[in-house]
Amino acid sequence: MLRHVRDDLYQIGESVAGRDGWHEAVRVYVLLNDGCPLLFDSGSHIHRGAIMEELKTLLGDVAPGYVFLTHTELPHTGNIQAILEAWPETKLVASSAILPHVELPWWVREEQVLYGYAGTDEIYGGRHISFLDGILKDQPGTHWMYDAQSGTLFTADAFGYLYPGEADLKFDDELRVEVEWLRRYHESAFRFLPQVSGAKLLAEIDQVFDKRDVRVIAPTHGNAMRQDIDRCRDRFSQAIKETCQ
Amino acid sequence: MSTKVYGSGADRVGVRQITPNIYWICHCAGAEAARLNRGFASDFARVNPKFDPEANDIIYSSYLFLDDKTFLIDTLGPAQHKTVLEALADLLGDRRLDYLWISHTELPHAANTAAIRRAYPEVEVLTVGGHDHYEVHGLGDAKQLDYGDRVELGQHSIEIIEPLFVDHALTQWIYEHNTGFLCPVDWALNAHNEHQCFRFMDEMEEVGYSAERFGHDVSITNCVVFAWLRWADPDQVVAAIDRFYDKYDIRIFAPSHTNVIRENLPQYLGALREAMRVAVTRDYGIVH
Repeated sequence: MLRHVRDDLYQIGESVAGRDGWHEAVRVYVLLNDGCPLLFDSGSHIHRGAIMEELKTLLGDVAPGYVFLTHTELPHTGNIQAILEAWPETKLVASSAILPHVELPWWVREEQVLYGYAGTDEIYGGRHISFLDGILKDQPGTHWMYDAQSGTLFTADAFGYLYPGEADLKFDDELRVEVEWLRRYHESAFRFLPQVSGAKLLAEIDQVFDKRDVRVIAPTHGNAMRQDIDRCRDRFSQAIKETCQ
Repeated sequence: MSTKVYGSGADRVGVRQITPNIYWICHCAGAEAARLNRGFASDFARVNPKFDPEANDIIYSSYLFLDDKTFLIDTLGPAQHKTVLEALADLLGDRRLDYLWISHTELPHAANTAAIRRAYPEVEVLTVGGHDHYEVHGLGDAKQLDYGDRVELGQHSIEIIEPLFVDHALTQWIYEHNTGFLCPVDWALNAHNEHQCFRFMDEMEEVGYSAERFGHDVSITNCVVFAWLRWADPDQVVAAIDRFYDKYDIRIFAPSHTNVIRENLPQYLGALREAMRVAVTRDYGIVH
C-alpha cells in the first residue's frame, strides 16, 4: 500500500498475517530523488502484482535508477526480476560482503550489480547514500544505509515489529508501536538474542544514531518511524533488554 | 579420490560418497573462485596472516541419504540450479526423492526448492517449525518440524536438533543416530584454494591443511557468519559447545560450508571449540 512518509520518501509493500493474528510487514521504500528514483529492497514475490502496481503509480514513466538491497533473502529480493524486466537499465546495489553467484538469482548479470562498502558515501542519481554495517542482522551480507537528505536510516530487519491488523497502514505517530510488538519480532527474527548482552548491542546502536541526524527509521518488516525518534529508540531498547541477557 | 563433477565455475557441483548410503553434493568454484568471490581471502589474511591468501573458495553443501527412503539436505544456490538436478538424477536413478529438508531459508541453502519440486513432484519439503510467514520465503506449504522430531529412513534415523549457533531465525540442525552424522549447517565455515577442491578433511591434510589451520579459519570466518558473537560471553559459548559435544556422539561432521570431517574428529572438534572462543573476543572492525 502506497504511503507518503516525509519529504520525497514513500513506503509501499504489503504484509502477511500469521495464524495467531499478528502481522508482519514486507516493505519497500522509495526516494523519488528528482527523476532518478532510489528503491530500498524489492518486497516479497508473493506481493509482486501489488508492488509493481504501486511502483508504477508512484513513478509513472520514470524508471528507478537503483534498487538497494539490504540483503539477499527472498522477502527483500523477491521482485528484482519483475523490476528489472520492467526497467532493464535499473542497477542493483548490494553489500560488498555478499557472494553474488550464490546469493543472487542466476540470471542477474555482473554488470547489473554495484557494491556498497561499509564506511563509504557514494552518489547515486545525484544523491549521497552512505553505507554502514548491518548492526543487528540475521544474514552476514546485510548492510544498513543512510540518506542524509531525508535523514532516513534503512535498517533492514532491525527495528521491525509484529502488529495487530489495525496497525497495518499506520505510522508510529498514528498508532503507537508498542514494546511488545518490537519484542515479539526481535525474539523471533534474531534467535541469538538471548545469548548476548543487550547492553553491548544497544551501545553499538547508540553509536549509529550519535553519528547521524536520523529523522526516519525505515525497517523492512515494519512501517517507517518518522516522528519522535528518541521515543521510538527507547521502545526498541526496552524490547532488546527484555529479549537479551 | 573419486569425484564426479558437473559444470564449471559458478555452476560447478561435485559428488563424493561419504558412506555407502550418504553422498556429499558440493559446490565450489575452483579456478573461478577468486573472481566470483571477489578475492575475499586477501582481506581475511590481513586480519590473520595464518589465513591462506589464495583460499578464495567456499564450499556449499547438500547431502543425500539413499536408504529405504531418500532424504536430501538443502538445495545449493541459484547458479547451481541445473547441475544439482543433474547430480541428483544420477544418484537417484529411477528412485523417487522422498524428503527435502531445508536447514534455513537463505538462498545458498533453499534457492532450488521449486526446481527440485518440479523434478520430483512427490517430494515432501520439511523445514523448521514454530514460525509463521513461510510463504514469503517460498516455503508456505512445507511440513514444519520441531526439535526432537525424527524422520526414519530405514537404517538411518534423522533427528531434528536445536542449533547452537544461528544466523537466520528459521534454522535447524540435523543429527543421524546410526552413523553419528551431524549437519551443523553454517557453523565452522572454512575456505580453500583452487588446488584443494572436493576433499574430505583428511584429504586436505595431504595438501598442507591441518586442524590448527581449520581453527584459524573458523576464528575469522565465524565472526562474519555469526556477527552477534561479539556481544556474547566466551565462557558461556564454550560451555554450550561442551554440553553439545557431551550430548551427541559426532562421527561425521558435515556442515554446509566445511570439508566433511570423517577422521580425527576429536582433534578438529577441539580446534573448533577454541576457535569459537577466539571468535567471540576478536576485534570485529564494525563500521557504525
